[in-house]
Amino acid sequence: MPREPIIDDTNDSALTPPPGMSTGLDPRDMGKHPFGGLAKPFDLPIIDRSEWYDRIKEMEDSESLLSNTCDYLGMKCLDQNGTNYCWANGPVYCVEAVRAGMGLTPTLLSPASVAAPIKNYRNQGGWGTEALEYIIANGIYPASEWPVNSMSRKHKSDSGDESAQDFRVTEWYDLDGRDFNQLMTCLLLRIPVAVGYNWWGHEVSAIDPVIVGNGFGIRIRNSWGMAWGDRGYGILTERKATADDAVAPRVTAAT
Amino acid sequence: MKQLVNIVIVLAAVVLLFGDQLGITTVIPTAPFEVDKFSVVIVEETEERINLPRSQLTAMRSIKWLKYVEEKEGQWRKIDKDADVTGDEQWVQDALTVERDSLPWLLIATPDGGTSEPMPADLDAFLEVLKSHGE
Repeated sequence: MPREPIIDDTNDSALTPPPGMSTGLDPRDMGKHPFGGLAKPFDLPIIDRSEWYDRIKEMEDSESLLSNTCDYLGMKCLDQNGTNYCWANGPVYCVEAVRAGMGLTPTLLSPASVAAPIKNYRNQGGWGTEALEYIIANGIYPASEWPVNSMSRKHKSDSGDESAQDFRVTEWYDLDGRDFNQLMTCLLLRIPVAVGYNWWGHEVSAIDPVIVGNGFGIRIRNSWGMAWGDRGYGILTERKATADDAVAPRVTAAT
Repeated sequence: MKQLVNIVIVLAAVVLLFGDQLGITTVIPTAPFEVDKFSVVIVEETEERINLPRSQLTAMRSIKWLKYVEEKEGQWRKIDKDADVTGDEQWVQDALTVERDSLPWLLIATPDGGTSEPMPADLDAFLEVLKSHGE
């Protein structure tokens, strides 16, 4: 039985932001960011549902889930701490997870270094592809140079911009909206996915495929700090997990 | 004695030149890149993960071998062949220059030797290769 809260239609108390926390997802503007406009449209063959159960059991038994690697390397979840920047926290954590899978030294990255410049240093909502566009062009500041939630423009600098280039993503997938099969295929391949849910008004990071009862779901890493769920992990059942917006980083710079 | 030496030289030449055709594996225990500690690099094409045998992908992603490398106070990477490694350490950059016949590819280097070969098919085989160089 998973330790994390399982969020479905009958149990959604964990969806409410804890005191001091917030969400911040706006529905993706398809006019501004059409499907496949920035990232490669997802074009992999779908792993058939008939294989999911055995694959997930094998991943659990062999400790080859992406969360196994993240936990082994001591990665903590992000904490958006009252900012409306969930839509940047989701993709940024995915970049951290990809880096962890590569064996790079875990580096805390700053979601605010992405979101704040986009929103002219205001505490405003957005969507994952907005963050992605910025990350592709500019990279992400390490938290040592831009505190994770600071909306102050004083952190932006030439040297920081240079450092941010070390934390770029060079290859992404743009998944079809509302396609659970594509999402599960990525997770079965250990590719994390930044997922936005209009029903929740929130963006999180999808990390693992999971078996839930007689069905399936996903393990997410939220950005509400380590006290939420099980060290920031929770589970969304399939109906809840089918995302409105989903982008998956595949390759990052190695620094 | 001179005749014996000549025979050995000829046999060695035959093995080196025709070893593959004769089914003889020549082990040249030279590290594929220079390191001062036990080092493991897996080179892959991320887009091709979908085409890998499940057991091989599982082997690549398991933390069981990471734990072994840490036990040996070593270091590791799993790198896409197209990743920009110019900002990474020299041993990683060197590893990416080693010639590969296929993907995913396994490189192990120690101060005493190593290997450069196709990624083993499953976790047990992979651990066996690691331990052959780590012990």
